[in-house]
Amino acid sequence: MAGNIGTFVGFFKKMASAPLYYTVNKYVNCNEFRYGTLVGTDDNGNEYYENNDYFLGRNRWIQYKNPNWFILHSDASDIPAEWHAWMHYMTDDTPITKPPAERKFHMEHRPNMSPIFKERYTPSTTTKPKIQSWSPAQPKE
Amino acid sequence: MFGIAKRFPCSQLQLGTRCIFRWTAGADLEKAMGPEQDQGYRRDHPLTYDTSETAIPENEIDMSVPQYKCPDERLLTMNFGPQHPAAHGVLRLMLQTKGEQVFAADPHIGLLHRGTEKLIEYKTYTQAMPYFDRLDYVSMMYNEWGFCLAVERLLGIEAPIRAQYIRVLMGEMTRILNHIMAVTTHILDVGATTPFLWLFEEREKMMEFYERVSGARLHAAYFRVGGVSQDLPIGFLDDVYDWMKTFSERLDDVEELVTYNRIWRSRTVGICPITLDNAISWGMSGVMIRGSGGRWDLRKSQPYDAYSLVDFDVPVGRHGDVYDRYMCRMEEMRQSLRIMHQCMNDMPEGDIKIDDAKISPPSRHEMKNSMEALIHQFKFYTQGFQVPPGSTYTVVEAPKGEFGVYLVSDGSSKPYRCKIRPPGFYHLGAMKDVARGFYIADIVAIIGTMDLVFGEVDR
Amino acid sequence: MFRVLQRVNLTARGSNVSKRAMGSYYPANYHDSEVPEEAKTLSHVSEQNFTTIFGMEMLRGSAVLFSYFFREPVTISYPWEKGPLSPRFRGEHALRRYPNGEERCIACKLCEAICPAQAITIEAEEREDGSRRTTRYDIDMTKCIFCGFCQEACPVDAIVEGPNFEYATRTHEELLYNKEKLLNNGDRWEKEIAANIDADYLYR
Repeated sequence: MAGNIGTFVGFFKKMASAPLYYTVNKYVNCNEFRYGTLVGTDDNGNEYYENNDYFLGRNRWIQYKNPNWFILHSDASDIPAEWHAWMHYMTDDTPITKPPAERKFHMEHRPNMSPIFKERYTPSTTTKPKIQSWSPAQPKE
Repeated sequence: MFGIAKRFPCSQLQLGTRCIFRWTAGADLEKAMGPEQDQGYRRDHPLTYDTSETAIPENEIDMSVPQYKCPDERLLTMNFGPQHPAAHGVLRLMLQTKGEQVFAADPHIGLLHRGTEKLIEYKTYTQAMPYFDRLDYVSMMYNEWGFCLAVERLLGIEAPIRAQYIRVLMGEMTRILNHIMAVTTHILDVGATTPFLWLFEEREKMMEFYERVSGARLHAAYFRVGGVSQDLPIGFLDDVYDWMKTFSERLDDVEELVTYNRIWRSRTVGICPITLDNAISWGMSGVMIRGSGGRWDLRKSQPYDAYSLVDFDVPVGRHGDVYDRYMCRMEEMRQSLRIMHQCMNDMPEGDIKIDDAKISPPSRHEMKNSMEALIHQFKFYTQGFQVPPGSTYTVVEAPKGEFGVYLVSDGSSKPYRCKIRPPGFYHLGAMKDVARGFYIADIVAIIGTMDLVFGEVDR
Repeated sequence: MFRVLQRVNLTARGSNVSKRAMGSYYPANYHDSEVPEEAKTLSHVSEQNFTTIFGMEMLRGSAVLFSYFFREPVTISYPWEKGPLSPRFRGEHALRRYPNGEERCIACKLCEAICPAQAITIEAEEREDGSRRTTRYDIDMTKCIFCGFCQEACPVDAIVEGPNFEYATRTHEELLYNKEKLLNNGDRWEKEIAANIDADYLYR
């Protein structure tokens, strides 16, 4: 249960070190006052926390990298592939404890770009056109 | 009591003595619907038909057109649905009402028709299987089961015993999924929100189990002809057991809150009573017939797969009203837990698919190491498998009732014809008769108790 | 009283039919559901009256309800916390590559053949180096029913249904995936896809 004493003690200890910043930051970024151990940070700056006093489903959470406290950015598709499995409880290994094999073709993660008109994917054909057009004015060779 | 009913017009009776009015309405319905119809019932009652000389005789009324006449007032024709939240999807009911009372309810269906039966004629047997998930989309694996059993019967094969146990385990989990949906949304329609939230939390956990075995939370595509697609993952049964322990407590909570609750009882007790002979003649099945006292369960009468190896009881109602069917559903959930418990204890080792390379695809390891297996893989996924000519009508006791698949094979790898017998379609067909005489608010309860899902009604 | 009369009537009709039609040859594992009995004896009557007058069933229900006040809320706040998934999850499609960067798909068209919704379109040609590759690999994600047959059929593990499900789009055309998009998906999610396939190797 979340009412574990350790959870509150840890939270207040942390709060005592940087009272205002920590409290407001937690509330703004996690939507809640929560205390957990920082498991890691991904390339975008999102922070991943864990506190196993919560039940499964709530014991791992992400604090999205926000520009500031007023412009909030929490897009679920921001989570890169290496952290995605840990966030969805597919595995207990984080990319820090068990780094994935490096391949040269790996691409950098991209969130869902559909809201941004210029960035969004537009379908295009990948084949050569099967019918060659010609302009009728020119005589055939 | 007849005196009371005669002395006061119906509108006044509604205020305080609803029970008495109900009873008299029921008595009239008994006469109107029963085999011994006499024309001598009271004319002053608002629910009697027009029995004057010019009226059409009772037995010549075209039942497809509601034309019950009220002596003094015009009937109001009203649409119930398809956007009504209690219509459980896309049901459109044409109600002929007088005030709050419903004289006739004419269901209009087809808004979710997708032509599944015709589509299946153009798919191989493997390809046709995912379409069954989408029929009754709250009891996904049970529909697959019906189709897989039908094809297995045509092929003359039987799934391995472990696959049979897995099927029963997942099938009973599906039954709980469906009954949670049926009971809690029914309670929600009638007015209580809380049980819905409690049990949907459990439903969410079962969705996660679905996802763990099959990869999809809803449309599982897990059962295959000759077994199941993948074995249960390690630790799955332990987690199911942990969930089962808490789930029975959760059912107790809901029963404590709802079962004896006077609001719930006043909304359900005596509503929509269906006699057993009516239920039989309307082709009802499942809880709709067991709630009326019918001792009819295909898991008992013609046990398929591992149902003959597990022990369970079948709850049977006494009065055939909405309340009894609610009680049957709650008890069936507990019996499903019992079956799941036995399945987990007795789960045998062994194959999960039939060991026939023509019917089930090879494992990936085998396929990548053996040329023959690779050829079988190609044959299976392009041509499918040939089913000997013949026809079968195979039924399973789906959570809603008898789910039948009538399959005709012409010897090719695609079915010649596939007729699906959805239970909800026949329950809805009785709506015209069972809803007569009740209030509009009771229509909501009747739709809820029929447990309609329009994926299967409209197919 | 009226209720009792009605019930007796219904039950009498029902039981006759049940004996005649279906009662004879079935085992006795059917039991009546626990429908609360009507009052029969004096103690029943007094208990029922007590319950009715003092609202005992409402109080008991409220007590259960109140106990939930002290339990931990079960809501998962989604963008920050996520529900569990398994390695078998069938989400957005991706085309994979071999570790050396060569694309796996050899255009055998098994996925196109098995796809029940006919969502996959493949065209193939010989490449300059003589190997057979696709020139077109389109998946109409609005047709796809996510049955997972394509990844089961694929003999080289090229097309997979990856773990991503957060690809909702604003327009329809964004869901008409072509080969480039699918390969990019594979390159982005390869770390997780490979781990999932490894985790599930016992069952495949």
